[in-house]
Amino acid sequence: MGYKFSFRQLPITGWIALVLIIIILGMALFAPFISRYNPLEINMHKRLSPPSFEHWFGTDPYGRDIFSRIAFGARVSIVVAFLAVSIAFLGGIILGITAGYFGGKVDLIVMRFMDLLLSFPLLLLALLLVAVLGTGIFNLVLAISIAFLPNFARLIRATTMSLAQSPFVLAEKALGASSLRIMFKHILPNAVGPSLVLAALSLGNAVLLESSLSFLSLGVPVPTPSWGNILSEGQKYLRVAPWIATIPGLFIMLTVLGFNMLGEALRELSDPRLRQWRV
Amino acid sequence: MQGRGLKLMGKYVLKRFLYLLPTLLGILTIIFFVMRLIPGDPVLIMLGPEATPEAIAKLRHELGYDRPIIMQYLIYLANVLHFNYGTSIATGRPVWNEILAVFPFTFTLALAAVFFGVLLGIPLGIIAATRRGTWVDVVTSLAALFGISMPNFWLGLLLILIFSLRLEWFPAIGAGEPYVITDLVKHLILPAVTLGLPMVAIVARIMRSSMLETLGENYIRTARGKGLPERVVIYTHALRNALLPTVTVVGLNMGWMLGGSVIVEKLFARPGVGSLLVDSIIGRDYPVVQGGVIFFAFLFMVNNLLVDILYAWLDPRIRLE
Repeated sequence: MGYKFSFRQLPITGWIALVLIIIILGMALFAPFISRYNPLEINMHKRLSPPSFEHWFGTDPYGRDIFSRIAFGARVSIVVAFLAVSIAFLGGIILGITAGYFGGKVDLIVMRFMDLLLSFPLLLLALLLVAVLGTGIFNLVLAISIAFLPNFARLIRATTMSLAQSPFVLAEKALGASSLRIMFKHILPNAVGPSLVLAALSLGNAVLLESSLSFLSLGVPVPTPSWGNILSEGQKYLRVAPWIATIPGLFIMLTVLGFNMLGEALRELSDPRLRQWRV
Repeated sequence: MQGRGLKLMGKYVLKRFLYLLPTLLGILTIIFFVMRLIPGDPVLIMLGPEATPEAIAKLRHELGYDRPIIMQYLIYLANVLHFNYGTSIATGRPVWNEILAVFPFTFTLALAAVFFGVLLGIPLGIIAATRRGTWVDVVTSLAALFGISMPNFWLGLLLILIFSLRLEWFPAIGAGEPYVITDLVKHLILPAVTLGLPMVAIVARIMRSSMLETLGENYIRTARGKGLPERVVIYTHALRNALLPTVTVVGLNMGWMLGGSVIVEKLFARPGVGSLLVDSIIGRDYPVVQGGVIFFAFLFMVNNLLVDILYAWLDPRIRLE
């Protein structure tokens, strides 16, 4: 059940996705270099000015340069999303492999708990967690990772269960390898494949979740820029300064689109039946 | 359905319902313990910093916070079953009444959004499937991808910008004049479209793929071989079977919708359970937060049950499981 891809087989959507993602990642990485202004610098006489050569994306209600805020916002959104999904991925691996390999009671308890978490709609779970943990970036990352963890756990458990019966695992067992060794040295590398698709899709959803929470003022705290934040501030000025709200949304969409497309492309690569558009 | 079919159906429904109960219990338990994790003393929060020690002790006793945790848990469960979710710190009214007062708004919004999603999504999916590979298909699929990648609050703002501020066709705030149907509907349109557009995308995609799968089946080939007009083949034979996965997906995504309604309600300043929940989280009105989350979880489970039942009704093989 190995998933071997060669990049030559990537459909065109995959390439578009990679380009999008690289651009956004580049923006996040090089934010300090591409921003002409300090994203936190308030400048009241330039407030609410439309996009111009001076300020490529205009200024917000406090006179801050929106382009700079968006560039730094990219950092926040990407870092939060990556961290959250990584934690969810790791947690999912540990829980999933343990449940899948040992089965029985362990499996039952772990999976029931995962099912419970999954029975909450994503945003609601995140809201509840934020209500409990409080706001702030650390809690935000934690809340989002808990929200995504069950999906990873389930997927990895499923792949583990099918791998646990395969000949090479049984051979290892016969040779006397310890459970831990089998789980992490033999099963894990093979179980990770399908999770990559989930990881890509989750990254997109994580960005969406983070920006939704920030929009509700329950995510990244002001004045730190986050795309959701900026959009939320722009809402009050929609009539006079529509660029404040519309531009961040565009970036959110493009980022999520990029990750979704990547996830789909990866999924196509691993399942020959699903090949749709190939160029 | 008669006789044996009905009996099987009844058994299935009962089984599904019973299966729900442990999950519900689990959720209630999680909520109970999670709420207890919130830092700070709820009694102090409710009374404020100037409260006297006697007042604190009195309220603590009234609310049962001085009892052992197991007792509290059992009382909590009993209360939930009696729909007693406590009183709102902000308004002093029973939480259940607060929720019930705004629930109709959320319900109509969700219904309108699903209606919109299905109304637009199914035809789009069929079109994409029947014209597979053509530009129609590609454009639809691409549009669908955009649809699920778009943040709904952004979509909402764009719609407000275009249809409310520039064109002035629809209002942007609130739910409208109570009991005036035309006004209520006018206020419902933009929020419903905002909430429902991602649903259109999802429905179109699943419809397309399940149509494609169905159209490849042998009985379709038979139908065509019999000389039936293509229209009949598609609408009578393929559609009926393609609809099944779509129903499941719509049902499963209702939860996603419930989450989305939170944002849409806040965005359009509509009253609703979502708005209530967000406001109470920001305002630290914990009884309402607890009640709201329980309510949503409950709704979600009822929804899953209904989807299961609907699916079993549509596909008789399921009843035998």
